[in-house]
Amino acid sequence: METLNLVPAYPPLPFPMPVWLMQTLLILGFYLHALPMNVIWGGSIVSAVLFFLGRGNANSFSFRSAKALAISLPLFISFAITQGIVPLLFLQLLYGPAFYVSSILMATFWLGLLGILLVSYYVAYYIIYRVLKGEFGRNTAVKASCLMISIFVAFALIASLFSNNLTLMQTPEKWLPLYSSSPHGMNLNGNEPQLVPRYLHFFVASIAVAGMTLGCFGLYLKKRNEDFSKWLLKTGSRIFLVATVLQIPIGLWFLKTIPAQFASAFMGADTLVTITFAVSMSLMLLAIVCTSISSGSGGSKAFVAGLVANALLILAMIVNRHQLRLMYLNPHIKPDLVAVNTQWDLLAIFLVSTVALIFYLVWLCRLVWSAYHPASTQNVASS
Amino acid sequence: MNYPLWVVPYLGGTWVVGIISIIHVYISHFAVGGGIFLALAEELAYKRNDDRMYAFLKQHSRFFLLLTTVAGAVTGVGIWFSISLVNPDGIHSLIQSFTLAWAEEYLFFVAELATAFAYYYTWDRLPREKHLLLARFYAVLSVFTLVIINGILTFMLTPGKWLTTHNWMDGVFNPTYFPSLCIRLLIMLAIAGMYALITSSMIKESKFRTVMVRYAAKWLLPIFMLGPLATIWFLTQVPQASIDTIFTGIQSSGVGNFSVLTRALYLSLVLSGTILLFAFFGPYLNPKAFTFRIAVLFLICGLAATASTEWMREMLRKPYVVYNYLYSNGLHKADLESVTRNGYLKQSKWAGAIAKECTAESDQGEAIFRFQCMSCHTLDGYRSMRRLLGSRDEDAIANFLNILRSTDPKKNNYSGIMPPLAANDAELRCLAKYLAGVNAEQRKLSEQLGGLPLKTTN
Repeated sequence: METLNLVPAYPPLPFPMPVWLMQTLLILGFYLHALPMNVIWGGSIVSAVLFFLGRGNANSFSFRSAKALAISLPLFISFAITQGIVPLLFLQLLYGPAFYVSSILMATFWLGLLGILLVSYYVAYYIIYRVLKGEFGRNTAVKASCLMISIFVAFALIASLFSNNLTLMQTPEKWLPLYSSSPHGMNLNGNEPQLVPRYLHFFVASIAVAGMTLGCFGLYLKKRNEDFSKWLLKTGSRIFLVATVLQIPIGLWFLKTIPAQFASAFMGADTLVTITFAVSMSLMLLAIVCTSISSGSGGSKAFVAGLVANALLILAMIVNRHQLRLMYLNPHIKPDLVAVNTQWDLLAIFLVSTVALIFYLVWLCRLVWSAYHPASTQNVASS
Repeated sequence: MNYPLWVVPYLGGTWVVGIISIIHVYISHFAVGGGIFLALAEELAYKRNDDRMYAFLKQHSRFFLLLTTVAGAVTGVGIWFSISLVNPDGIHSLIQSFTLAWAEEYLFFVAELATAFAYYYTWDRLPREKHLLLARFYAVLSVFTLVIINGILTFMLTPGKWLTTHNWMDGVFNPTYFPSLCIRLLIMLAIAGMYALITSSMIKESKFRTVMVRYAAKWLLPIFMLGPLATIWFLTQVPQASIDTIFTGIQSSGVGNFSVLTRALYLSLVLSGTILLFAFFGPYLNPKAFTFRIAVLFLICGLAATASTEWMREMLRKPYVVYNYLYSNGLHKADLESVTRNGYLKQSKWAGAIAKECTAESDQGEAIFRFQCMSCHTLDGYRSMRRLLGSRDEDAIANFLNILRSTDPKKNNYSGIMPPLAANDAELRCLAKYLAGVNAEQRKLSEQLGGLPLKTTN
């Protein structure tokens, strides 16, 4: 009862759209945020290792692939920040009463996260415009590798703060003792049993996605440099494979640390949750099989199949994550009870704008492509 | 009211938001004004076929990209994070009212950022007319981000008809929407000019540097000519109570008793006037003598002017987060009477829970103080209670708190700047007891000095 009393009320205003639509946008928004986040976090450490391995030769595949990852990193950071707006907006709207409280309890760390992000974002540009611009030397690669490790550590810290906050918001019974011990926002959720396996689950996933990113670079280079393309497809597939196989025991550990009644929902007690989980596992097996093939042959077809399976796997896992959150929050927070007054006019504007944005981005991508491949796309540039 | 309060010693939560906001405003205004600058300057370069200008713009756009897409984006998220921590009631109400407006803003952000990257990474790779097209697209898209966010920002000061209709359009297109849009656009052009002065002053070739410094200085002219008119237009739409606070402050300036709001206004006017005069006599009339160091001074002065103007804008809204709807301590205006009658600790979940853990009256008073006052006050730092209480004893504090309970401006001089105290009689006594403990040392010191009360500051 005490716990219930501490969950703040929603503002005395209606929701601007149905709850199911907000939940869908939350899931899709988080999906588009999680993809670049994984590339950054996993990509930074993969790039650091590749820089170190390729430190002796600027033309080595290791160095060149590390450099490609490094050059793309600021774009992925920008994409991740922008895409973070959507899930943050709908998370606050739907589950704000829990999310605001947990954020306040760890406010100092939560705000500090942005300082870490700002510095690491500039470090990513520093690597491109200062470290990699000069003459190549052994120190170039080592320096780039060290800086990449610093970016990796920064994003590891950011991820741990997110894990702390998003688990703390699910457990209102912990709030008052934490606030009583420190109203200065110096709390973390360190004693949460699922914190470590959940964190590792995301970390290993980011390595897998970084592997997939390398493979995508391989696809991009397929017609221009076959050897390098094959190497990227093989290396990317292998990284994905190792990380995903490692994910199995970590996933089981994660499942074991969540309360029994929630874990049982994944094992048949809740049909929808179980189906989503089964789909995830099937997609994971499919991705493992496909990348096993591409890791040996460097074949692009098997890799693409694995890539698609992995993209769907991440989406299914995100749906499962959302379902687990609902299980935790259902006794305390009920957005379904808030009145809805759909802003149809604004919703229509939003949908039309979304379609217009997609068309604009396609046009923009083709324009940039034409700028970098003038011979092959003269028609695109002039259209 | 609804949430736990993040206690930030000395600085206070408001300044956490304030510092991040000021930095963000200075960069984000550059993102919009700078976008217009790039588009118009590139058009000039295109018409003149001026390779030196193209080279300058390429260099300037890197500075632009590194500042706006990194620090601008992160501090933008920073404002959102910090307001969520300091005023969750306020941000939750705003998000719930304008979800789709925010979502629309996100779409323009995506388009704006994608265009910024496309623009920067295609220098010397696209035909010049195509590149100019990208610059124009960026300028339009960035203005649209302002068009949307300006609605939400001005809504907080003048919610207008929204208070009765709760319709998003009434909220966005509120009485100060258009004057504020004009002022912000003028400021953005001026800030774009100031940033361009920095990059122009670094041009090595002296003749071309002179041309570009003078061109950049011209960007400060629109605000010089139209700024006062737009400000008057804005002030005519501001709530009368806020205008009264400004004019009371101006009238009492002679005796040195002018309000914080008036101080912010004076500071903003002095700094803005200084920038404009020096821009006219410096880089505009005498561009040859203009150096990088002077450009940096301009930029610092601009930051100070932005800080004081934004501070004044925030102060105009006091004691509300959303004018006439939600007080700055998270209490809804409509709930004030019932909360005062039934007791704050019964209505505020978190303050009540903290008070339940205490037995002493003064500790219960601390809970009321924390949740009702600490959104603006600190004990020893910004708006320090120890300083403001002076040597008042418990009875004097109780009398003062009783005045603060009144919603009638004739009885409560602070009603225009502070939310009324929502506390029943017993809670008021607890709060007075707690505050009497806060300033106990000052009182003791005052008694040692012969019973003379220490000077108090209102």
